[in-house]
Amino acid sequence: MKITYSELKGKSPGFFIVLGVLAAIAAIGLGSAYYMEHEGHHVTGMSNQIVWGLPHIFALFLIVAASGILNVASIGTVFGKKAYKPLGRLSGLMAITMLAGGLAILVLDLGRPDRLVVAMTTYNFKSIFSWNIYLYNGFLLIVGVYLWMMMERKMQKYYPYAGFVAFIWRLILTTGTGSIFGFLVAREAYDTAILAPLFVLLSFALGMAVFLLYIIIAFQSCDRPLGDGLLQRMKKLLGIFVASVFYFVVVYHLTNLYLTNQHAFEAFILLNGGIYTFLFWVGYILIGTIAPLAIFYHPTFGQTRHAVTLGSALILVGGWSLLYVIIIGGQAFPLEIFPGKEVIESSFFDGVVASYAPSLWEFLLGMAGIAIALIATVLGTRILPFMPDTLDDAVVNPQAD
Amino acid sequence: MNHQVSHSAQNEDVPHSENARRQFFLKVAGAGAGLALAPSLLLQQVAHAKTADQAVSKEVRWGMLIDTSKCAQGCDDCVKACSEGNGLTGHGRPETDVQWVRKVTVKDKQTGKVTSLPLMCQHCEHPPCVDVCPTGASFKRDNGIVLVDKHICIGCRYCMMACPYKARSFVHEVVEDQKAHAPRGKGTVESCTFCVHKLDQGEQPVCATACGEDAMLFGDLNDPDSALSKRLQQVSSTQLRADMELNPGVRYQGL
Amino acid sequence: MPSLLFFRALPQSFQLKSSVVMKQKRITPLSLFGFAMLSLLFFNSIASADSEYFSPPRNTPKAVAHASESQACVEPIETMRRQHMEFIKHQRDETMHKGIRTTKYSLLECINCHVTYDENQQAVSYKDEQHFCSGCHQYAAVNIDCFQCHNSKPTPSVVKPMPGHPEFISPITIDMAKQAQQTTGGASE
Ligand code: HEC
Ligand code: HEC
Ligand code: HEC
Repeated sequence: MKITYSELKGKSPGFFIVLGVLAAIAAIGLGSAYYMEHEGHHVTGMSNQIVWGLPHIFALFLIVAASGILNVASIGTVFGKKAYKPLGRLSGLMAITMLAGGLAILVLDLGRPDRLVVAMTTYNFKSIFSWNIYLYNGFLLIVGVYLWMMMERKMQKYYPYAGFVAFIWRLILTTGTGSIFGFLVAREAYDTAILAPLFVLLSFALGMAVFLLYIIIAFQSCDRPLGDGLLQRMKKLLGIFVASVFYFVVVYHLTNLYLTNQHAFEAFILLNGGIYTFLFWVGYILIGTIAPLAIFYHPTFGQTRHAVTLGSALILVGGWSLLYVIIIGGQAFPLEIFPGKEVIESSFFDGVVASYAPSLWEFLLGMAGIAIALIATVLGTRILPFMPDTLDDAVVNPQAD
Repeated sequence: MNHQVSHSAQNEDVPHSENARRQFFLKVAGAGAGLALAPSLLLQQVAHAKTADQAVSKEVRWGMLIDTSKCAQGCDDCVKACSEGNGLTGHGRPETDVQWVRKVTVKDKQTGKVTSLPLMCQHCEHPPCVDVCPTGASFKRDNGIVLVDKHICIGCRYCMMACPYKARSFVHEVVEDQKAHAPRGKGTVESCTFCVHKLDQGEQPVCATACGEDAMLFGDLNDPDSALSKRLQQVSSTQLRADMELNPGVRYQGL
Repeated sequence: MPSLLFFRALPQSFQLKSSVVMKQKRITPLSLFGFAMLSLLFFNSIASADSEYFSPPRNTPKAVAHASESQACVEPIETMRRQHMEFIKHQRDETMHKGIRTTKYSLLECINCHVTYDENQQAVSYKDEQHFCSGCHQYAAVNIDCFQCHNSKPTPSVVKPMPGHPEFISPITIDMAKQAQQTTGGASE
């Protein structure tokens, strides 16, 4: 059967309540960004020891998820899986909006957001960070073109090519994001190439989880049919992604354990790092990996829609925890400036684990990024026909190749 | 880790050097009018001192040798001089207040030897902060000092993530009443500049002159006749984290 | 005036754009083009308003010269009005990157020469609209961030008001050798 798409009607009170709440969250977050900017960053939990904090976790979370969301479209276009094709449009839209939300956070957290123009016009081509600026802008552009070709009837013959370019670009993009950390030679936590593939896999998992959650909620609230067969199929793939992230996390820690000089850092994350150890074992391993896999593969509960919803939500919690451990934990662990020596006195917190207590402002800014991404998604589906009218199993045929 | 300074092309006979020498003396002589400059404040390398209108040259590489045996635990004269000289006012919040130079005391895990030393931007030859900076605000001058061009710094703090010495600080609060020669303000990153405003005029960084024990010897690493190079030839010195091969301009003796 | 013509054409292009969206519900190249034209128009009008119609206010405070009463600005006044930003920005890069410390176009020197005192003989900062740089910029709606970092008050050791004559500052002895070398030539020469 032919898939048809249409805009949301957007007339119900529910639609306006959702938008209103999201807009309020965004406004509060922008307000707190202004406050942080005005007072200076000392009102945040960030310091000269923990220079990247909660906003960066939210931002990376969204950016990583954005590139992962595009996977859904790629699976349809590049790998030719028919069942995924009807989701292509929404996947492209969300890839754009999530990235925009993440970038908004990053920009608002700069010390001088007023100099955004400088960031866009002066480049240091050696810096992986400025490559990323290109990668992000290119991503927005390419996915935009991809969407256009997908939606404009006349252009449809080209859209597989656009899909292929977008797929390659998104792989590079996440590799670039991971390399932001991988290139930091000075830090024990980051000086490893494995962070890049780890981020790619993480993006697969987070993107799929976000996407599943969004379609389950959105289709339900618009009264559009969504087949369980399709959800189950995507769930299986998500399970594989989660397991692969876990594999890379294990390899990451095993290589560190193999290197003697990294033992102290490993002990810090795995054994005695307080909040970081807790987030790693409980947040990432238990809630974010074991629980969702158990739920997904449970013979009876696993077949229900609630299992997909719950599992996806837990995966998001897990991914968030993992990012927290990598980003904050990596900074909290003291730099080794004097190998073989122990720092007994310093006025600048040398040799001690840095403390970080995130402030409310940072959290609100992070939430604002999510809200912005969601507003853009909802409005996007309201204005243009991104959402299929039905994804009933009878229409989509979830077993289709 | 005995480090020998590499001698790059020497510039004994650079045409302008004689002229520069004369001008330099003129300037010193003229600087009178109540501004009595003690000779020790001036750099020994007269041939390399530039006049105000000359651009810095690649032939010079500024560096410092810190003799930790002379550095007393508990003494922070250099830190105070730096804060005073560059107008680094704190707010009683050590985690967010800036520090360009700090005192660190370390103990050798094997021998138990305790050493006290000042730690600041090491002015690397291959500075990681410069590599990562997205806008190019972090840069290395021709004469080897690593600076932040605060006019294009966007405050992303990636350089702070990259620095192996934690030498950089982010200005977390509004700054008022700055020193006229050391502009600084909220939202940008900064670090030790080797007192570049003084250096450009032929004077030494304030920490080196403030140190009562003469533990900080400042000079030109590229000039084999500088007191610094001569000392480096005689004593054994250490680079911090030499394994990273950043070749810092600041070296430590007796560490 | 071409821009006026453009404005007349505006409503039409608007209609065009919206009807396209309404009927086909698609982003078409046409609407993109319309949007691009609109934004061009917008930026164009901003830019031209700035450069052509500005004339400096008459009431900018007179510079209090610290060398002598007859001292003029570093360039002819007309040139300064139009080009002072270029001079300081050029100087900024020369100083920052090449370590050139000539005084002629140095921001520090502008500040030390263009001094305004309030009733209490205190030099005013950029927050006061009496400040030389601020008064004019406020009038011209120019926003500069320089004084977030640069001190907008004169250096006390160099510039202080003359007792009894808040208009003037104590002349400081100018060192001729230094003057000859440092005040000639822009940053580039
Ligand atoms: C030696 C003292 C001196 C220095 C240094 C100096 N100026 Fe001036 N400037 C003057 C004088 C005197 C005038 C004329 C003021 C008047 O007649 O109202 C003037 C006029 C101006 C004007 C035009 C004001 C108007 O009324 O339109 C501008 C703009 C200006 N200066 C900017 C600068 C800048 C920017 C710098 C730094 C690069 C600078 N000046 C450095 C003395 C100085
Ligand atoms: C974030 C802080 C910051 C801001 C904002 C800033 N500067 Fe600077 N500026 C500096 C620093 C740091 C130096 C280097 C001082 C030195 O090396 O002596 C400097 C040096 C300069 C110099 C050379 C020194 C002198 O006094 O001549 C000029 C000129 C200059 N800045 C102009 C500007 C102008 C114009 C603006 C506004 C458009 C500006 N700056 C904004 C931090 C800042
Ligand atoms: C006579 C009026 C006048 C005075 C006095 C004046 N300015 Fe300006 N300034 C302007 C105008 C007008 C512009 C905007 C020019 C444009 O955008 O084309 C400007 C622009 C600038 C800019 C560039 C701003 C940007 O965003 O590019 C800087 C920097 C600047 N002024 C610095 C100063 C400093 C420092 C002083 C005090 C020493 C000063 N100006 C005094 C009129 C003035």
